[in-house]
Amino acid sequence: MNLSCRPARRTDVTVHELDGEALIYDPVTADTHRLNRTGLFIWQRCDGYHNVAEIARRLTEGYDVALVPAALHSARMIAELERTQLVTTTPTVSNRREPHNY
Amino acid sequence: MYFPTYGRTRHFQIGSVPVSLTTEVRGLLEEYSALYGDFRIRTPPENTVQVGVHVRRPASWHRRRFHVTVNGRLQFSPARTESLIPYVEWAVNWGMARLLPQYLQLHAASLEVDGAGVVLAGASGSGKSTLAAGLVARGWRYLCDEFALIHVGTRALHPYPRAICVKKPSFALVRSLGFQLRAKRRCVKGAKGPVGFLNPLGMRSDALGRACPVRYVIFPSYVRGARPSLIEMSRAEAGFALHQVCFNVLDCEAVATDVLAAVVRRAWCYRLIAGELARTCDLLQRLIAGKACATGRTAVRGRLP
Repeated sequence: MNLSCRPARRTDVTVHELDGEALIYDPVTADTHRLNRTGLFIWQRCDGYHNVAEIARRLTEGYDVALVPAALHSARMIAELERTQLVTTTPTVSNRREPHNY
Repeated sequence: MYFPTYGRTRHFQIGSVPVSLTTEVRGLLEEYSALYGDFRIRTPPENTVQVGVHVRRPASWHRRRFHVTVNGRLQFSPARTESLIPYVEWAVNWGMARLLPQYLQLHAASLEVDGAGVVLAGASGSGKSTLAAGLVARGWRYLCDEFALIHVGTRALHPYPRAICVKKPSFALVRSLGFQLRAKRRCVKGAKGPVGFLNPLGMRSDALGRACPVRYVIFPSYVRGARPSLIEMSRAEAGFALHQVCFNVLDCEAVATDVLAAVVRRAWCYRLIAGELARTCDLLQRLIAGKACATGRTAVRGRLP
């Protein structure tokens, strides 16, 4: 998972927040998903504006966790949400110039 | 479609579930009535689960088989007479899923205590029925040993007081509670093997509970020799686990998640390590009385939202 990706959660799913965790119903697949506290924290920030690195940084502010494990955790979580089609990720165009190939 | 040609019919209103049984098999109606005679009615309402049990004799070298139908459709064709009562029970379960869409049907025992609904959810073999019998012996009111029927509109837990199905290893335990197993002949229920049935009204005349809100969602798992203990679950975890034991989840779609979220939001949710029956029942009684603590995130029970 590229840390510059900007994941966007689907808006047609039903989310039931329960004591900081969540049950999510997907009407397309008819599946129900459960998110724990950090899962819900990440889900709420999958708004299409924050990229994965920013979400990881927010996670370090909300929880007592270092940046590297937070980034790994966020990337893994978003990859799982993407696999289950609950979020879509849009790659960010890189500002770096491509190296010339002589 | 399958059209039966002959049979006697009796109608029953078993809690919230109307059932009509039609059969020409000798003794079957009487045996079913021994379990559910207290629920007999004269006129069946609409949406009755119509179960038929008929004898089919194919070519002479084939063994006789029974055809068990639900509202005219062939569902099962058992060969053994001793399997008929369990198959009739299965047929009713099958029909309920189609004919009673107003209920979310969970694979769980359900009881009422002091107006509070208790759902004991879990897979087969987790000890739901034996635990339900033990709790009824202590004054809890019985709703069902196999289903928690949750009304989609009101979210209330409704009774379906079917006979408690007890597996052979628990026969002695149930008799030690003072209950009499009702079966004129030996019953065999598929992979469960020999089973016995307890008439809920035979246990206590006031054993039947009424529709009530769900206040406790408990997931028991029987561990032989274990010290009974409760482990607190998060509500999302409990809601998700209930979703996994919901029979008609595909029929209800989004409503199922809405109802389960609403139910767990108003309930305390635990995992139960169930050991010896008396000690497990003691623990649950202390829980209801507010004197038992669970391990887990919080040791002290908070107020419901």
